[in-house]
Amino acid sequence: MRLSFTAKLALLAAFNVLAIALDYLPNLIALAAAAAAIWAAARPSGDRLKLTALVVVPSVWSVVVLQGLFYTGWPRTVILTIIPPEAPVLGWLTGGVYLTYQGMLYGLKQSLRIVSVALVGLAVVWTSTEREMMAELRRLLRGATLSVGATVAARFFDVFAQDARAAMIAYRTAGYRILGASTLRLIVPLAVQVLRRSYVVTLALITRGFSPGVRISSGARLGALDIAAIAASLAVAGTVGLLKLLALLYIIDVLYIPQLRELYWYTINYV
Amino acid sequence: MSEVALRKVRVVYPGGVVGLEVDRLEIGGPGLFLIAGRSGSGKSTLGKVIAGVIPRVEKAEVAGEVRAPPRAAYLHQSPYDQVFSTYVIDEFLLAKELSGSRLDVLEAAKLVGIEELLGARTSELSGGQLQKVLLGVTHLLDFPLYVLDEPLAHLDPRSARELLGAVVKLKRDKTVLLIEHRLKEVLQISRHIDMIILLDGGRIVDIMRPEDVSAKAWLLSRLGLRLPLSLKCSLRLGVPAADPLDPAPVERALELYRPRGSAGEAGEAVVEVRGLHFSYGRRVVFAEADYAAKSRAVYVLFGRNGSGKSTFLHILAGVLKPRRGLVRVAGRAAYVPQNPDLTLMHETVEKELLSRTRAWARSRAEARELALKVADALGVRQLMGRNPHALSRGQRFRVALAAALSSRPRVLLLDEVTSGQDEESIEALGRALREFVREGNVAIIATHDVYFALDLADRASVIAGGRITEPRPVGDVLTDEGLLEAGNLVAPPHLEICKRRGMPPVRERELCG
Repeated sequence: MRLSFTAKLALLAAFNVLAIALDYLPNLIALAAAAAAIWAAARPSGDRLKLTALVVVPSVWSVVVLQGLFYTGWPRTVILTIIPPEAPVLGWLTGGVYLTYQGMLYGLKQSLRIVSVALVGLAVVWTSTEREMMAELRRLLRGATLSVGATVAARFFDVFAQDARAAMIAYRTAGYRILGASTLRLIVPLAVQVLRRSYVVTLALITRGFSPGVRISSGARLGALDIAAIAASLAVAGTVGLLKLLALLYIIDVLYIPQLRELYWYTINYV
Repeated sequence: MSEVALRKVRVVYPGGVVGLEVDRLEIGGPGLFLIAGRSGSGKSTLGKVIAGVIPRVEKAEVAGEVRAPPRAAYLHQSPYDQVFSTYVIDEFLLAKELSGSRLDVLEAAKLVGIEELLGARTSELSGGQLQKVLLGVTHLLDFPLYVLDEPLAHLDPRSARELLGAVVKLKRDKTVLLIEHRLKEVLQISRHIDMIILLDGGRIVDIMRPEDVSAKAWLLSRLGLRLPLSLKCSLRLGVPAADPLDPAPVERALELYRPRGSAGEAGEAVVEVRGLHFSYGRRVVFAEADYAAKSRAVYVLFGRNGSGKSTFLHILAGVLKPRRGLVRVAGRAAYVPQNPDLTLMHETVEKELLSRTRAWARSRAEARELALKVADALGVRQLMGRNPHALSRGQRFRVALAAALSSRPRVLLLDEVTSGQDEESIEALGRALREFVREGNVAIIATHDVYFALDLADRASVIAGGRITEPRPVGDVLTDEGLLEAGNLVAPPHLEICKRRGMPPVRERELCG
């Protein structure tokens, strides 16, 4: 990606707004497809493909299944009966457990929101240098601690994944089963590593003369492509956000503008 | 006036552990000052107090008077955790922006000889190159004092030599405190060292000039430091060494050397690999690779960074599946990664070992008995009630090794485990390995450490170009120019003397063990 970090942040912010504002399933699918295209443009390596799968698959799976099981809205079309109400003990206790179509659809919408933001977020981190990130975040957040924290977290995400992999291999060869009773113990060495690394990072920052009070230059100037990307991000996210706000005000009987009747109808049904 | 001065300094860590007690120390700059001692001797504590890391960053009570420049660069041993940026140039620019430095990036890079690496990705650099990047970055910030805490810990001999060259340049106008126990490498630049400070048990036991090193080699050896072979032979034979690189004691030891016969018969095949193919996406790691390891022997795998050493161990451990080929391991394999801390999962050392022995022992009593036996063998019995993560690095390493051995594997797979370990821990590893293979097992170790390999392993292979060379005696591999080049290795200097004398390669421990 040749965009500046500022433009990428604007794009990420737009995806966040759209992920919250959009509710019509085809639009959410289009949003996720756009996010996937941006993610693919970052040309992820094999390891990053695996990392993405690790972020995306559990999110989608757990949200879709959980919503399918515990959806409380109406109507509810049962597509699978897990525990029939007449089953002894569990049936009596639960009143029956079902997987519902509407619940899974609702779960799919939620997971598309998560996936869209996650894919764009990964692409932004992978295509930006740490220096760009730290400079821009410090400028935007006006706080050194948070910007350094965010930058370091992004930088060491891969390292943490490597540590987890090494720990897992040692764990398996020691005769433990993955997903066995003591799997949670894997957290101990990983947490200790995070603490040790944090200490080394602190020392490294101090050695580089880092001080929360030091001002940092705001980085490169924005090019035409950056300005276009920022403008497009703001325009799309702003328009959708405004439409949803107007529709919401109409629904809760706060504001109704008769001239916008068509727009209300369109927003409620297709946005 | 001295650059650094300590008077009646006492450092107490939370929990009441005394880390350092120094009555008086004066260090004048600029120059290169070596602080040496075994793991846990207090050398890092001394460096941190001088650099101001204690008490500013690390909590500890410091009593007494410490006078040092207010701005000091403290570089930790692991270069991998101290570099933030994807590109080298960004690492320099980030430091420049954070500090507001007006010094020139190119000049700083030139000082440590990495000007050609400015456009490179940091992930593609070796540990030695990363350490030089860090030195260059700190030079940009114009610190008067540098504290380098075991900078050679993660480096192979070639990278260590390169880094020491950069340190020598730096000392011309800076005060450099070099904390190390790998004197085998450091003493190769002994003529550039201005003073050697020796610590043990948190106290300074001696301050010497480099020209006194030969005469006081006994003290260095007693402190568990990795000495050059010349000094080891000098101690053993009573032949004086003019300096740490003097070949005379080695020549004399070789004159007296009598081969002790073969190491014993090789056992049955335990590991067999034929026609191995493995790739990460499009990157082919192994293509038609063959390998075999027999019982009762320690094997080492050499190879450049990224050649596939760790991948091969993961394949043998059964956690990576080859695309094609036969991989047969007779019995269970245990794996210890480069960072052994990642294997420590329990609250106490005792629970750590028992969790492994209980998996196969017939009774609790047997599990405990066997855990104690392994703990004794690795010298960690007195630590059984302690939390493994609260121990020193050397102790943690020995506990991790004890835990791996407690699971009673047939094949022990070790990944670069000697990195950053002192002589004492490496000797403990050597003893444990000999005992382990004597019982009919196999140990396979991926390493860059040629000294360790020559001394403690039986056979070596080099991984290069997707193939693994047939295991041969380590000495033969380390005298084969082609294999040295393929594995990016530097042979121990005494092998050159052996070659000149028409002798077969001799292990250090056979000469002066």
